[in-house]
Amino acid sequence: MDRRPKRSPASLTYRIVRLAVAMLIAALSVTVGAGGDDAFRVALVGSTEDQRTVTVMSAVEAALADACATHCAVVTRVDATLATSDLERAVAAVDLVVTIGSHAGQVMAQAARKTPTLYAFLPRVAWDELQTCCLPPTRPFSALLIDQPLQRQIALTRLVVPQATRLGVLLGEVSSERRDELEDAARARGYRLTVEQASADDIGAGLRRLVQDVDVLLALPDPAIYNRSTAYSILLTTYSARVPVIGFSEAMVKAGAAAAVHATPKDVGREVAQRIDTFRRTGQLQPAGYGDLFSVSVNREVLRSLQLPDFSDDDLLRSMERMAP
Amino acid sequence: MNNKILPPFRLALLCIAAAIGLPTPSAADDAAFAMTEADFFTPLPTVLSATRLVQPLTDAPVAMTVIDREMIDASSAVNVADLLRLVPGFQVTYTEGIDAVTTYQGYADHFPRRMQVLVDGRSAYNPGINGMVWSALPLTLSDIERIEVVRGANAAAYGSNAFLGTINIVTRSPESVDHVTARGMAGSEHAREAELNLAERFGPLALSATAAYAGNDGFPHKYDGNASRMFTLRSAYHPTSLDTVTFNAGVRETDFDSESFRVPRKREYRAHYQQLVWEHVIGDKHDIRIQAFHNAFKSPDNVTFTDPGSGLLLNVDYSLETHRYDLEIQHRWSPADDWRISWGGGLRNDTVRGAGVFDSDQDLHRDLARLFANIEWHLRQDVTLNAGIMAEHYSDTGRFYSPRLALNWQPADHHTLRVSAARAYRMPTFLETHGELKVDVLLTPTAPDAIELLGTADNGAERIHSYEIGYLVDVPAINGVIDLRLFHNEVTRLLYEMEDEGLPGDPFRFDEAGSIRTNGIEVQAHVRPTPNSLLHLAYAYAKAEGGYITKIDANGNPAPSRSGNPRSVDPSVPEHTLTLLGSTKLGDGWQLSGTVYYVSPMEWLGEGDFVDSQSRVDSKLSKRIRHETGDIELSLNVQNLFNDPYWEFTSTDIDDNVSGNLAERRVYAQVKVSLR
Repeated sequence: MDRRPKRSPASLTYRIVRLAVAMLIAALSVTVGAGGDDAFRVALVGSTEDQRTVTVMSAVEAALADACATHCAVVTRVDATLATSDLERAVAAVDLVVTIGSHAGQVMAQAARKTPTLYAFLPRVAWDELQTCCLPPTRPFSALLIDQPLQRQIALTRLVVPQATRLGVLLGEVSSERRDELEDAARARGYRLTVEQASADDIGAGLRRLVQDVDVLLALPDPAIYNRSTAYSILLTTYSARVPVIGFSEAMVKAGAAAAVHATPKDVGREVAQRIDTFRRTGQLQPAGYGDLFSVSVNREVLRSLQLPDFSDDDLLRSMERMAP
Repeated sequence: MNNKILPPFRLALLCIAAAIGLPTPSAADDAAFAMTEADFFTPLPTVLSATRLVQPLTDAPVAMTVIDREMIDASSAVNVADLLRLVPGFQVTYTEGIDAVTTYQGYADHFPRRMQVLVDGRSAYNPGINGMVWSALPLTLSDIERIEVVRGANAAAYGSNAFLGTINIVTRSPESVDHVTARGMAGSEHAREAELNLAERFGPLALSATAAYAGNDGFPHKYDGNASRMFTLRSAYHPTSLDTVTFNAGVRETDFDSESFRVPRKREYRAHYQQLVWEHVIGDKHDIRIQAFHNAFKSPDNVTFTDPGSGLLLNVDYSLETHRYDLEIQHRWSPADDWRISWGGGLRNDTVRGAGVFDSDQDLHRDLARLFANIEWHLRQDVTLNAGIMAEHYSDTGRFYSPRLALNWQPADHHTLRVSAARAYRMPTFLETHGELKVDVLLTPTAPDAIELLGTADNGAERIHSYEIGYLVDVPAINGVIDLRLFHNEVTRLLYEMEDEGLPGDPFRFDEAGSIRTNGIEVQAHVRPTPNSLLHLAYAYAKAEGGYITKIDANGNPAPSRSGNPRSVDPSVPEHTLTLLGSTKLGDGWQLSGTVYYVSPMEWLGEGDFVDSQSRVDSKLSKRIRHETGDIELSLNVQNLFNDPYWEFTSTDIDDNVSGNLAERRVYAQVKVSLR
């Protein structure tokens, strides 16, 4: 299923209105520090009606403002739903384009531009698709993924379920691509890994087999496996088998997973700001990959029910940070 | 994407769903991997019942036995009641091939009536007899996710009748079963069972339907063959991530041959229920559960027979029809990290109809209104206080307050000490309050009709004070939990039937008859020495004292009786009850289990009689064959492996004829096929 918003061919009037909006947005550009001809200019491209995207943008601006001493950046917000030509105009004179979200990433990748671009706040699988479809390696780009490195999820697993030795994972079509990474990360922490391959139509049987053989279930992002329709039964089955789930989002923890490590929009915003600053100073984009900033959520009711050690979010985050490489 | 051919049943279910406009799983969903950052933030349905209701054993104010799916599969049980043998102190027997009788700490007749039984929170015991008619319960073993058995009074949480214990059955969610499961079983005494379960998910709605048939010839040389048909539907709907609506319904029809009350005849049970539950999460700290249900039970049983002594043609109408309507609201709240509060209220109406049993054409009603509150307070990291109270108002018996207080202390890691005290009541049954069971003399107009059983309407409720000290130790080295429980129960205002010479025909009349004090110890060990093996030990020692009046003379004084008067309760409580279950997975899908049962001699009350000690060894071998499209499981289950016959239940009639249920070796072969 293609989740990209469908765009209808724009009428002339509509294009004029959008251009006016683009100009208005440009006029409202946030200038972090003193602007000038030699100011470092950054365009944040994202769906400005999406609350999470706006949160990321605000966090970028706030972090840059905090870091601003002698060298500062001029930050412009650009609405990713504008027509391509309007977008091109809006980002024409910037030193760095930062896209926030998958849709903005797609839009900007499809535009044949040479401006260095940081693709942020998108899942690894969306980033892989972008690289395949639209990004020739000659163009300067990088990415800040929203997924978490598996070592980090497994480190959290070790803290939350210290007795566990048998790690179970349900892999779908998307997450299967991380199988090698998973095997390496599990081996490095001394876990015995059991993997069940599943599809959207067939999760129950594999899951029930899995929970009989494992001490903890590690959930990897995969919309065919973990979605609104399936999460309830997965959490119910694991809970009944008293197998805690280590998730990848705060939503999973609220629904009944034991804990999760994830990046909040604020984490992403702060990290984007750091990368902008590095680029400003060095002219180099950091390699594409996972972020260094993350948050941890725990469901204390679940910890208590499964008789796991009691932690608060902050306790766990501190422990994770101590463990971080 | 999965392109396998759909099994015909599932295809039919999908066609029906499509016809009524439900969203069906499609290839488009399968290929839904155009993943975006939204997949990390989309709210997911909260698993409320699982995460917020279950209290870890270390915090629980009661001793509990959890029979999970793994134990169910490993056990040799062939029906729900059989599983309760895995609980320390439980006795399970069969008064007839179909009628399983379950009691805790003995002291029971045909209809043990001192236990609460809940199925997914629905009180399932029969209000006519206040006991559980297992053979009328629309539920198969495959439907069960787990059973939590609370040992000890717990009316503060579950209401009166949670007197000696509470059996809390949790069924499998429609979202966690295979798409198609078919099961066939054949065995001794012409046992035959067939079951088909279909499950499907339609977006936010999940459905599971089970149709089952079971029958057998009962005990050898006994007229107790039976056959049962049932259908159950379970559904779960998540309209939003914070709401879950479940609707469950079931119907069961059981036909059986019966010799109970000394007259061979054809009998039947007809039962059905409907249950609707809405659970709603309000933020991180609150949730609400609202439940409405209706249970119905009907057992026509009009008997005409010739009395062997007098030669008179007699008629007794034992027919009974009962309905229970119940509405309950519960609010759970966590005002601080250290506090959890659960409180709410409910309304219930029990209606009973039995022209012959109550000598009345009118329906009898009992209304109940109740309020309850339970608080869990973590005083310190290592100390948990549980306090609860249930206030109930019955339209006929008045107001009752059932409190409970428990303190759990963890002096060291893996060790928990629990001290608790509780009071609970057992409401008298309609038979005990309004019974007027007449024996009509036919064809001989001069002979007067006789009243056989009489309920005394002003009976109060039985009362129990229950005290216990528990010690729970978790032994990580053997992956085990060991649970010790020392208890002292005092039951007063004991209601029992006494022969009343003051009334014409000397009928048996229910009245306050005595008291019981029971002391005992229970040991439960649940150990997984290796990931592939399981050991479960359930042992109970109980010693009872006290007695009850069995006969009174015309002046209301105890009269001489051949069973002793007052009759001691001690023989009715078995001294030792032991079950040991061991199971191991041998690899390549093979699993071997063995179970040993032992129950000391005990005397069943009412129609029952003295039964010598029971010991039995069961064994079960199963093989699971895994295939891409599904699993096949074959199993061979042998009960009483060494064919050492014992008496399940015996009764002696007024002419001193003894009839019993002899349990010999029974073998069952089963095949189960599940398709994904």
